[in-house]
Amino acid sequence: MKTIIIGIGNPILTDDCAGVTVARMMQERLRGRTDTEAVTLSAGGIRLLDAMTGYDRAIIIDAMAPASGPAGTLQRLSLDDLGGTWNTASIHDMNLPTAIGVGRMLGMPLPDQVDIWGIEGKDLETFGEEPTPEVASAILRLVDMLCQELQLPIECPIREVL
Amino acid sequence: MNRITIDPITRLEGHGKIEIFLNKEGDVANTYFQVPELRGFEQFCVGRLAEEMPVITNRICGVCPEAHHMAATKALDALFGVVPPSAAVKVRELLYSAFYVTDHTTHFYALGGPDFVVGPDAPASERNILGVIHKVGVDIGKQVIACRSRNHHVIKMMSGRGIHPAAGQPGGWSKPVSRTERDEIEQAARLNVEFALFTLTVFDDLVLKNPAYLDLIISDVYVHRTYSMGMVDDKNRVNFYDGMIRVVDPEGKEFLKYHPSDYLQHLSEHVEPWTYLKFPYLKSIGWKGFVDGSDSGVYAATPLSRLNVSDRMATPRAQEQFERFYETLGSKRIHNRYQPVHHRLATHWARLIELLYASERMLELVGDPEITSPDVRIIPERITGKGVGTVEAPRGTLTHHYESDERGVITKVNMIVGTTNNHAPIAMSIKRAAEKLISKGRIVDEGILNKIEMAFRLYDPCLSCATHALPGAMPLQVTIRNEQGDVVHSLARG
Repeated sequence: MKTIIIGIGNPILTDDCAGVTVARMMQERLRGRTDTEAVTLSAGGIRLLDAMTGYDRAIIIDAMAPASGPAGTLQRLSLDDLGGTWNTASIHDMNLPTAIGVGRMLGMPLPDQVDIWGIEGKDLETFGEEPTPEVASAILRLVDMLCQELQLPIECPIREVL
Repeated sequence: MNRITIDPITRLEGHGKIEIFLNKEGDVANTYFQVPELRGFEQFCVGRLAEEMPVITNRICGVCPEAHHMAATKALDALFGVVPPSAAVKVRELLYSAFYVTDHTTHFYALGGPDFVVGPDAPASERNILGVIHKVGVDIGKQVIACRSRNHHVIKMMSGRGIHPAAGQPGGWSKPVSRTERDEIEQAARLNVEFALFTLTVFDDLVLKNPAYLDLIISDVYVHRTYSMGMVDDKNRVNFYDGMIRVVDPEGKEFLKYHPSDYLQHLSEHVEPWTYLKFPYLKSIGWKGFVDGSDSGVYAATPLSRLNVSDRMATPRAQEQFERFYETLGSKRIHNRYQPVHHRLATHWARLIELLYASERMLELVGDPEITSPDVRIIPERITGKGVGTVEAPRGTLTHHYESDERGVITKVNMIVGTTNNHAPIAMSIKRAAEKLISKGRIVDEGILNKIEMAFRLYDPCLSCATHALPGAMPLQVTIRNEQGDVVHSLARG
């Protein structure tokens, strides 16, 4: 089974970096693995379709507006309850369910399983290269969880990526 | 006072919110278009080395990073006082043309087109790209995907990265185009020309030949007689990469023509208490409020405006379409050029003519013998301390203005992004559509709300860089309140 991890966001917009940072950290941990890859994206929509094509499973990670809990809360979402994450829809084209609909309509080889992880942010509107402490810690927690799920070693020089 | 809120605007992600206030008679009293603002970009940039700007500014937005990269790179040419070799200029414009093809294609098929191809009154669940593919066939869907894919490949090949280009340097471009790459790009450009012509045929068959849609385009709901702005080459033809900024008045007479670096002499920004986003206007006319006409400093900078300021198109097939556009919409020729078209929904058509121009221009540039020249960079040797770079972003004239100290460290950043130019026209178009479509006793249904949104969507506004990339395609919530603030009617779609 081929898995793609896709981190979406803007790396210079404080907590909006969450998805991108997780994906970069996963890239480090995935060295040597051939069944799983990690990529970063700056915008959702049709670009997500491009990124997912040819994989059996996709794990999408994105920041979310503060919703249910305190900043740093992790939410596991499915395509059905999508709508709350920050970048899975592109301003310029379409949201993720529509993109997947297009892909299926056109017979593109898309994943059967799409998992979405949302990280609730504290500040998604100020330019800055560092996430807030709450989100920084959520990023590490999510990386650990993904490593466990994918049976990867979790020890890694984390700070160099953050 | 009754209030209708459209929040957020579907298909244009964002906390962009339209609020419509009704008076007690049920007529529109006022409308507000509000967007939140991203904070701290200037502080983020100040203190950094100027040469980092093309890779920082292209992070502002995931939608049109190529436009920011190009404006930033041109600003650096000026800041470092260096003129790039002609091959580098051609390489930059070639990449930029490929970018235009992807951007305009995406807008038509995914955002603007569904209103026409599927219909403005169709249910929201069908009024999207899936509905378009359903109507025109799976093959066209495949062509759209293939078009995006081949042009992104070209962008990646030429600029080092797929989404955020990295090749722009003060004085040129970091890598030349190889002969093999040239052949591949040429093939992509040929396919682009065919695809653009095909798309214009789709528009012709499904929109122009449908009297109801043609009526909608030319209806007075979507008319604004403002000044038009756009960049033109030395023959007053549309150019996206470089040239002079030309502004024509509502009758089509040239009002201004200036070098982009003089923008501050000609433009000012008006501030309203209800929004962070500013409203640029023509300084010499002045801000007279959200009104049309030659006495109001409001201008638009859109695909339609770019056609309006130009005498002609620089490529033959786009020129044929340009003539057909103005003839069909009843424009007269005065002083050897067409009078401006003010039907704002015609912007969708203008965008497709630009799609064809970008495709033809790409083919022209890739066929230039100089395009594979290794001479694509001049190393800068001085710092002027100031640089303004302007390109036409798909959404309007984009200006980056940097100042630095003698070491090249950024001390000041100012930007006018494409959508910001159109902020006042967008606000006016929403108000006019609301006034025309909502009146005493009329039930506000989804079709009406969509037609109000169409007034907004035609500008292809990208709030990401004007403001922020925000979640999209969430259910549209519309709330109508009575004078006491009680909800008397609500609509939701998702």
